[in-house]
Amino acid sequence: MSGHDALVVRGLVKRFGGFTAVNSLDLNVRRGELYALLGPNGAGKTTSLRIVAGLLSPDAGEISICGINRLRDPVAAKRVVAWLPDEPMVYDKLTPVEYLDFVAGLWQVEPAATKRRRNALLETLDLTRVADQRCEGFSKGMRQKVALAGALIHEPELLILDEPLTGLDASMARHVKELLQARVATGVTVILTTHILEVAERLSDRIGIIRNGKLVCEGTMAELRDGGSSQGSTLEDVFLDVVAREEAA
Amino acid sequence: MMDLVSGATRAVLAHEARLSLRGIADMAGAKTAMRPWRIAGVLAVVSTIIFGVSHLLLMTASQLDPADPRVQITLTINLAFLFVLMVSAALDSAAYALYARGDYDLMFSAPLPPQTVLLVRALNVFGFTLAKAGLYGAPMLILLAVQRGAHWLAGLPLIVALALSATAIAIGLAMGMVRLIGIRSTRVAAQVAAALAGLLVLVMVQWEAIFGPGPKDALVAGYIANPQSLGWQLATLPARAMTGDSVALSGVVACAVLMAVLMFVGLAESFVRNAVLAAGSAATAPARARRSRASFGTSPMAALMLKERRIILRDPWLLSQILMQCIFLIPVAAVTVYRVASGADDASALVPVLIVLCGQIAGGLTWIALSADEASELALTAPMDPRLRARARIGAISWLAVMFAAPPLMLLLVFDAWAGLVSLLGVACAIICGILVNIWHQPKLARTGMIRRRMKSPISVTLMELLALMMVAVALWPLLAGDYLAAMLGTLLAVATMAVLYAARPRASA
Repeated sequence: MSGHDALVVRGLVKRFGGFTAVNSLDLNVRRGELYALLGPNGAGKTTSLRIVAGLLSPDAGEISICGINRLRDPVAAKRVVAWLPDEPMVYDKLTPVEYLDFVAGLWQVEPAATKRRRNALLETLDLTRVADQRCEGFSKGMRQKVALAGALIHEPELLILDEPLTGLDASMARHVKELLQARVATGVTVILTTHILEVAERLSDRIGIIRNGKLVCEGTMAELRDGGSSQGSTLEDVFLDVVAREEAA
Repeated sequence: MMDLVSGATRAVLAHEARLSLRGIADMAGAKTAMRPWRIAGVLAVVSTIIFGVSHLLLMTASQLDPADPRVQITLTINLAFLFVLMVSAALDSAAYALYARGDYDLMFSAPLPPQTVLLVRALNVFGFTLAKAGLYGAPMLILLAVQRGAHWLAGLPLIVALALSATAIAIGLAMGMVRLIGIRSTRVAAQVAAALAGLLVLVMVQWEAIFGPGPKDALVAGYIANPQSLGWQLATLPARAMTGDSVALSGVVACAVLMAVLMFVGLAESFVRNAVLAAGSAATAPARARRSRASFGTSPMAALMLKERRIILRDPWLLSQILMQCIFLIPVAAVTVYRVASGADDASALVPVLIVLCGQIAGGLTWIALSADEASELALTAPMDPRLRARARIGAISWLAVMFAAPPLMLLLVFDAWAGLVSLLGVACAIICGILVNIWHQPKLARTGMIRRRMKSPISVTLMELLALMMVAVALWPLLAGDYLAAMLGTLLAVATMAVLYAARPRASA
């Protein structure tokens, strides 16, 4: 396994009873790149990423996160990862300030750094005016922003986002996209899943397409266009072409 | 009126019935849809037990002559208690069924008159109230009819009429509370009011045990002195109806129907207005939290403990359910304290009560911590040992349970030091057992709004919790009498019980 890559997955398998959700998945994500993992519903994207985040145990395979073996040293691996699911992990009875302090406490961030980063994130994500209100009345977009701030407060090296733009309005979606790109520019690795193919096309350095728990296609947008039989010019065309080919095979 | 009995109404009624059956299945701990024959089987077993208990009670009862003033007064008092309990249960159901279901967007966007929704919800409340009262009352009445005369069957329509009246009063009260204190507070207040009513009845039931037969004798004497007065005629109307007086029964039934019609006609508009508010209540301005000086710190353990405490203490809905669970132990404690203070018992009588009470509080708090954790995956992704997570949870809950237990423990230490020390040990064991049983067996729930413990926590877990706590009490009770051998045997029994409960825990599927 390469210690230079942010994520290396080899032969990952996850079964739920008789159903194989992840089927010998191999994946390499380089440091400092924005990688989009795409696939039809039920392809195994979320299950794979939940295994990487430490929420599920694999039945087989190996995972290395920034050179740390995730299965042998899960605590060290979790220290450098942030996981943001499509349903924001936010507590109704806590305020955004308390939530961020709590997450910082879990990742053992120094109090001075916590305060500095928390204030900056609240400002950046336009949460300052609701910083002392409990999250129970927040819209889904607001909750998503609080959860995103929580994912960023411990400055992870690998940020895994499952449908991060769900529920955000257009201006905030653009804001989040810019925020992610800025993090990538500082060397952070971002892996995201999305069904909005334009977002993946515009944001990502590389794209992987997963189907039936296996990576069936991977590369930059240009490589995907060149490699496929599709004559289309958009990611949507490429994606639909790949999925159709795999279904026929 | 035709709209109210249309096909759409039948569809909504069928939907309500299905949801109710699922609710019963949830309480029974079923993981999949419970088949009707299984529900019938469970009900048959429960009914058999209640028939058995009723039969035993009747065997010890003296002749029940309807003409005897003492019988009339006893029945009147018991029916009054039953009615208060019915109203309290109906109030709790009404606040939930009317304003906490969260499906009004669907209901009011469907082509249904809003009155239909009220009718169906009212029938739901009525059904639950009748089922609860009927489950306990019907077996006794049927046995009375078989053993002491068919006139006791008049009690069956009487229970239906009382349930209908209780439903009408409860819905009226729930709507009145919404007008006075708003929807959010009504949900909590209705639950607390229901618990207080239940508590009042339990205290009143113990009244004779504490103060003797004096108050009842005074009532009987008052009734004998002037039985034909309007006050006594009205007060004893349900009792006379129960013993087969058809005129009295007609009067009670007519009153119940009148109250139900008045409720339906008079409150339909108000219901729709409030329900629309309830549907949008989640979108109201969020509460501003008081800035706390307590820091989440840099230790994951400290952060988790503070988070658990803050979430529990900020949720009056969940907290009230735990307090309600404990509130029913208060009459027992009150009677015990009275008997200890009057010299009838010594302080050691309080020890088992305290052990069970504290264990139940700890168990309830654990249920909150498990079910109120809307973001449980966050801690799973944090860089910390899983054992530390469990320890943090136990630490936070223990601290809160100890806060509840501290005042009675200190009192006990002052009155009787040895009983106090044994209680201290028992309370510590009970808290740990209550927490562990819930951690092992309580299913993790997706927190959706205002979940209710009694509706969502399987009865099996409650029974297991109670079994473990009783074992702790059994183990420590002999210590008070200085019987160390019995205490050791009891401890072995308690440890074996916990080992069995641990072995029987469901395995995680991840």
